[in-house]
Amino acid sequence: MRIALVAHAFPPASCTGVEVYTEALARALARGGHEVEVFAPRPDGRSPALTQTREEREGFGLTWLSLDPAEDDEERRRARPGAAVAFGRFLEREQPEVVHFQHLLGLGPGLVDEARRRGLPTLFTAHDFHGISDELNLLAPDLTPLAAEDLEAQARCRLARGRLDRALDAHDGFLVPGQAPEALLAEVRAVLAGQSEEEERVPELVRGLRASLGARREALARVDHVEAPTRWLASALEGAGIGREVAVRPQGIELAALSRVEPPRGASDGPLRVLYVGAYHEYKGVHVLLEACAQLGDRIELDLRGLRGTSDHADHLEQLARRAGTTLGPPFEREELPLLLEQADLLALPSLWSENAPFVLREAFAAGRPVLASDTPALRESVRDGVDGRLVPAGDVEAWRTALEELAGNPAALAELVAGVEPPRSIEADAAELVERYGELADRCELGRARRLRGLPEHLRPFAGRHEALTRLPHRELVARGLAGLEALARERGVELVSPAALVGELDAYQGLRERLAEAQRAIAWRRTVAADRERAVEALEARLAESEAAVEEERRRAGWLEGLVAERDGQLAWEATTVSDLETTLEALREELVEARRGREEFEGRAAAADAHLASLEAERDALAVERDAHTRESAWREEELRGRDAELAWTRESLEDRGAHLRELEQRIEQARAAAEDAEAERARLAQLVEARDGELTEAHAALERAVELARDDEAERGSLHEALRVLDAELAATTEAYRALGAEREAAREHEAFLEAELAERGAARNRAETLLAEREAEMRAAAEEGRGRFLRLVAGHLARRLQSWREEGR
Amino acid sequence: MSLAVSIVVPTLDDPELLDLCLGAVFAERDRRGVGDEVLVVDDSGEGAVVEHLRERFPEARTEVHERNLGFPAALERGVRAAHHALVLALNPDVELRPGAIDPLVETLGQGGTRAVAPLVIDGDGRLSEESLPRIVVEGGLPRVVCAELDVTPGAVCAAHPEGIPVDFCLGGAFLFRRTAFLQQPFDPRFEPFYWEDVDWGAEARGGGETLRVDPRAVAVHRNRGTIAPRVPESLRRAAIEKNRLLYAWKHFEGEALREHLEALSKRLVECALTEERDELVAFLLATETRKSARRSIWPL
Repeated sequence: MRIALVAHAFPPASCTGVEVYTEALARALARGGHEVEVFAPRPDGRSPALTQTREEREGFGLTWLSLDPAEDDEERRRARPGAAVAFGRFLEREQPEVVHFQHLLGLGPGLVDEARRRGLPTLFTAHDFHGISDELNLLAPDLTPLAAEDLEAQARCRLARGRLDRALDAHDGFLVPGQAPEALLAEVRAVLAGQSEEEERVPELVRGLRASLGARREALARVDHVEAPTRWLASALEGAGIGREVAVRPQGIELAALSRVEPPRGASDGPLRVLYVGAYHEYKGVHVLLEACAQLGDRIELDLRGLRGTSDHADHLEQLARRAGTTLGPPFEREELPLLLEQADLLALPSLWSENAPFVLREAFAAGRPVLASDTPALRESVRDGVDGRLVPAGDVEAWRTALEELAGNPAALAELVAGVEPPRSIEADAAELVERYGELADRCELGRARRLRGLPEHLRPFAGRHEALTRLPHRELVARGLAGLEALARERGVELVSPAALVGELDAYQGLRERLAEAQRAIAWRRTVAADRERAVEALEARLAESEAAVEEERRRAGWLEGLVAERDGQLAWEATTVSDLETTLEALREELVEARRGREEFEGRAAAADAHLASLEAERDALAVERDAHTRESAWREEELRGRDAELAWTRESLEDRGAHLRELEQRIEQARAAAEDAEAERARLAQLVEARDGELTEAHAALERAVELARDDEAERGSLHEALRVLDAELAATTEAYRALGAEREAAREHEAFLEAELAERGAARNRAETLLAEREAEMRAAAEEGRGRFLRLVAGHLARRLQSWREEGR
Repeated sequence: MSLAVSIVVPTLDDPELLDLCLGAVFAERDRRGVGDEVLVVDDSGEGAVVEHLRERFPEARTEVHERNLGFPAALERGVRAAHHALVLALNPDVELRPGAIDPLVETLGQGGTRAVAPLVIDGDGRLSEESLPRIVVEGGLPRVVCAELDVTPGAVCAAHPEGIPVDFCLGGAFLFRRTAFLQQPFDPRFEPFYWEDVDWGAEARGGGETLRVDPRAVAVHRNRGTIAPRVPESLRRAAIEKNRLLYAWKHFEGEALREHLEALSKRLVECALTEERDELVAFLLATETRKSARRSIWPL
């Protein structure tokens, strides 16, 4: 299988974890019989940018893409335009069957599209957070953690690094609190907190970040298979919204040399030997390890190996290392690592960032060395605390000191950890698993190709299949086969051509020449660009020179003006000398005035004392008055309260009087009404009297009629009925009369009740009543007499109830 | 009186185009009235036009390939099935102008003539390299060009009243003798398509025969009925380039061959350096074909 591996760097130009792994993987795949081509960029000041140079390595090919080391545009450094096109040429030339991306830093997501456009299956192994953030460690410059989704915070990180660029000659982009200059650290923290004058640039930076990170995440989403060596990193990538699942798959290392490392020496032989290998960046936490070791003296023997750098932090580490009785060791060759591990009891990994799956950790395990590591989520997946290493809080010097001290003083504990170490996965096992995955993905693409072939007319398919197969040969093989075929043809046809070997040699030379020519042409173009830049720079310098001359002229004018100013000042000084003399005279006068004033002050002080005494008496008086005033105030309040009560009472009385007046007026009205009613009653009584009188007449007539009726009844029973009828009519009339009388009685009773209240006013009414009663009595007497007379005459005819009604009349009339 | 011919039309699956072609063919047949035979070979592999022919052209004979075998095989099938001694091969995108067959039959009757083609023009009436095809060698490689002659479609060429000699007859429209074709059909090494007719013409010329174009006979080539639209351009170019090389290796001799191989050598070096892969691929396709057909009667 032809496999392309893509990394952001490669040994020997760069030897950190990803590069070392990619190289080991390439070797393992090649040993497995696969054709491997590595594509990696390297800064190259000698060649024009984007030149490709291929070299043969141990069983695999390596194509370097030259990058301009002087590129100062950060965005262009992160994803160089033109890298994708160059990668497309690489793919055309090498015709891999699968493309495995290890890192795209400095290359850009366009490489993924180049592979996909050619229908190639793609894999991406995430080694850090580059897929979702520019901050590969997710640490801010002050070493505080960053969230991958917080683009504003990341934009401020850029601003803060710009601040570091201006303040420091060399730096790694981080400051260690307690070590860095306080003012600078405060300044950086202000930038990170969004409290700088550059804050207005943040929205623009966020837009840029969103675009570039969006392109990167989309590229990850388009890759056929994405994996990470730890669950921690896989979760972070998934959580950052790349929109796809990230598989977790541990990576292997080359075990051969490391497995031959001698076991650790006996437990009690001297100090604990601690090895650190890696960079001396701030986020690696080497300062924490050094500070911890410095407290343990000769119980620890610390071996540090790494690239020193030129930053202030390295100077600081140098000082700490001296205090810890060691030095910052130089970088090491890969071949040295087994020896370094052999001379150590354990490996220290004091990182301040989360780390991922450090290769050196597995290399230590492969050599049978336990690891003392920072307790971060990712490292927890690699180090089993108390089994094959110890996990110590990151950045905690005291915890690191304690852990080291425990192991230094307890060889048995160290031996236990050594016994717990298990060999890590081999790169061969890793490669074999990957080849399976490559095969699955390639099969899918093969199915697509087969589908395309099936879409052709049947008789074309064999030809199209051969065409496809040849098209997918690497360019070198295509050329070699072509030349061999030409040689055979010429030989068969008896034509003498330049021998293929010579042709190939010539071709190589020619190719070299062409390459050099192309390179020279690119160099010329590049130098033209440089020359143009320089011309522009010269123009700028000339412009600046003109500006400077103008500035010099301005300075001259300013000098003339200053000379005039000096002359003016001289005159002013002379004037000031005269003024000083005058002032001295004035001063003498003022002194005398001062003596006088002092006297005046004493006098004033006497007066002030008297005034104070007077003031004290006044104050006493004021206090007494205040007491009195308070009493008056209280009394006044009381009186006001009383007054308010009286006012309320008065208001109530007024209200009551008004009610009584109203009642009186009402009574007067009612008296008037009663009077009118009495008059009406009198009139009614008169009418009744007349009625009684008329009734008397009627009764008389009735009696007469009755009498006649009785007489007739005796004779004629029929006449008796009419008499009965007449009696019933009479009875009804009597009943109506009785009812009217009863109503009159009721009215009278009501009037009587009113009269009881207004006796004086009703005196006349009483007299009238008496007269009415007298008259009534007379009428009653008359009626009684009439009744008696009637009763006597018509006793058998008159119903008993008439007599009872008359009796009640009488009683009511009374 | 003219001889009757068998008109063989290999086709894929474009009934509309076939209607144009066969409409003109039957009109010509009827006009001639000598018993011409019309035979359509359905090479779609699925009998795509059989029903259509039954409805529209019931007089047409039909041969059906159960699998798609390509133009040369379809033509050969038709020729084998033909009843007449003369066969007019027609692509379905070629439309005969009235009166085209008689001159062709007449010209083929001249001694030493292997095949005769009508003057092929495009839809706008213009001549193309197929009209009066000549093979030239440029930079060691063969190329088809149109002979520079003053020709009027439908008229006798004053310079060549017996018909204009050409290097080959366009495979899409040419008249030949059935037996001669069956004795020497298209070279299968030129499959899947293109340059098989060029090679056939070269073979005939190598045997001392002549191929002609009679401008009295005219046909319009619409260039859309063949395989071209159905394949990717890169594949089509690869086939042409492969067959161009095979043609050179088969027919070039002596100095021409040496020049060709030297030019080829330079070209391969250029391709190697410039990373142009298409010609390299075509070269390898040609060399593979050459190796696989070593036992052929024509050594390459």
